[in-house]
Amino acid sequence: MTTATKRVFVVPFNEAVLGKTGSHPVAVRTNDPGEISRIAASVSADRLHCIEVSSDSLAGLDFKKEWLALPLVFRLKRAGRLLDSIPALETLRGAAARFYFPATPENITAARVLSSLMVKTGLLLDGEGADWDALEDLVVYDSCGKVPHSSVEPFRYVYAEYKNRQADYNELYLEKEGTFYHCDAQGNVALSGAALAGGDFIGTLDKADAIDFSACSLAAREKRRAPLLKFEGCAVCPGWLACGYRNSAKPETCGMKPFMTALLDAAEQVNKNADHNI
Amino acid sequence: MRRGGRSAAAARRNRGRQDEEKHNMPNILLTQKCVRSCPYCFAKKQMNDGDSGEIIKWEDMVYLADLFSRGGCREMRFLGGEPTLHPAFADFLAYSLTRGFSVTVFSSGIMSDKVKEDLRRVYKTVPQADKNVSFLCNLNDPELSPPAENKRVEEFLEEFGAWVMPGFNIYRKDFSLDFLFRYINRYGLRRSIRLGLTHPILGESNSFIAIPEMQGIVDRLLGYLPQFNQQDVVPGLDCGFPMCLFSDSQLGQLYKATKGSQRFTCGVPLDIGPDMTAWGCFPLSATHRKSVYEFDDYNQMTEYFTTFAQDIRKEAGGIYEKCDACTWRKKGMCDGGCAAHMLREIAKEGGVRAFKI
Repeated sequence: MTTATKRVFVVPFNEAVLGKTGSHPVAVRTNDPGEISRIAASVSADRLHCIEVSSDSLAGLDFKKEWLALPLVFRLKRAGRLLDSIPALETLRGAAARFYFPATPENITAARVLSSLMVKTGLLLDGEGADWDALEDLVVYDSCGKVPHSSVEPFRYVYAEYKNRQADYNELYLEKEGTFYHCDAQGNVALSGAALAGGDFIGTLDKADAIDFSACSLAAREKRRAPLLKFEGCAVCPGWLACGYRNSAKPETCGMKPFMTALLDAAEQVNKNADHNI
Repeated sequence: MRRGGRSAAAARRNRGRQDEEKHNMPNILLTQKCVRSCPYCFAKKQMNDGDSGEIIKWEDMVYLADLFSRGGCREMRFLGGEPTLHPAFADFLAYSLTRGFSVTVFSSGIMSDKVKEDLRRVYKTVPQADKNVSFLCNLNDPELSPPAENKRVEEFLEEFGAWVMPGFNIYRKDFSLDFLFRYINRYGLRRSIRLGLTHPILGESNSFIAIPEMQGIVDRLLGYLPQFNQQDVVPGLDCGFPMCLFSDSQLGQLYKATKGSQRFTCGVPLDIGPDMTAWGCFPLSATHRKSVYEFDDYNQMTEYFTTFAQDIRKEAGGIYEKCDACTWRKKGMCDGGCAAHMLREIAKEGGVRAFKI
């Protein structure tokens, strides 16, 4: 899902809004898994970046076999009991879908368990309450584990894009200025999900031609870059590029540095191993 | 090139040992809590010394599944305490089965309705669960157990009997096996009985069968052989019975009754506690414990603890003096009884020999 040069509109499932996105790729968001098939039928496969579905738990998800090949991204609050997911496990293993959870201690454990069962998982590092120590431990499992297991995002992304200085793992979360533009049901366009929720729009889809997307993205990045001039926070964190210095304005609450150090060390080792066919 | 008799015999012996080691299933203590307090309990040391609230965590379960997989081991046993008391017991079971393991649960059969409901779901929803999950229920004589306990055990056997192999730990001379035959027939349990001899646990004061009492135990046990044969039930004598307790005629009878499967050697079972320390067999749990994380794979662990058990046997041939010169021990057909008895004797002699081990 590397989309460095594309402009992707992140839109709710709304025929009118979708109609205004022209031939651009779209990431369609929904809170209703029941809409997945209709979304897939509404948007051509070559335009569909992904369908992002917010729901409660993996255990409560009725995953359909017809969804197997769809580029689905589930944002779930929790995994729930493994026993509840067992009947669907074979389907989940074969699906292209990835299941993201907030990085709470319970969900980090669930990501490890599901990964070991060959289900593709991811953790949301943008939320508060992330357990960085547990994440660091999971990185060790993911990068050093000798038994086949499924990838965990954003670890896989960081390993794969280790040598790419433009890489920002927030791309996985549909949050990368210059690539993703968030739209609401009224057709308002913003640079991020947070900006959209806060009403900080850069224009509307009706008048998309009037928006200087590059300039707006650059300006937002520049604004976030300003704190990097101080010798603290993101400026002294090795992971500042990979995380896109998202917490530059509030470094005191970030706490990611040891985790990012471990993640990048793991990425370096994974790449070295690959270079030496280990 | 023809190999010499001695080395060929040694090779056969080693091959036999390796085959046995391959069958050493790792025992994972999911929790130290138990619903019973059996006087002979082989996990007593572990349960007394450890933190009773300590349980195996999910991270550890994944780690162990990976560790065993790498060593080619596809079987594991869940022990306790009472393993069904672990809050994630059924999920662990489903997980292990999905990872391709077959699991034997060592349980008292005393469990809550919720656990039983979870078990039903495991059997119903996990592919091949009916083939790959079994229970070894260590049953106590109902005459010597509280009625409420008996009731719950029987409720479990009533529903899950088809997956249950009964086990009985012999800790007193006047034991009876009659109730086991009754249970097998009434509840449709598997037609074999694991018969364990209770052993001393170093550093603990548990009830066990002392060496001079063993002959009496064997004689009483063999008295049940006609019943075993008549009812088509296979006795399975667990480790620690020296072969010389049986006459040639009795060995012949035992061969028939056990369908030739009876062994008198020690398989060194590998036990792993909730704190992720490992040891080779419960009676030896006070010595040579190691963190699981010190091993790269399951084979390495097995090798370490097997070597430890062999070192004990180098210092003491067996539980009897005569074991030192025993032909059958030299031929690898008998290990001279349980190493726990030997270690107990060695420990009495002060630090010199114990230090060597």
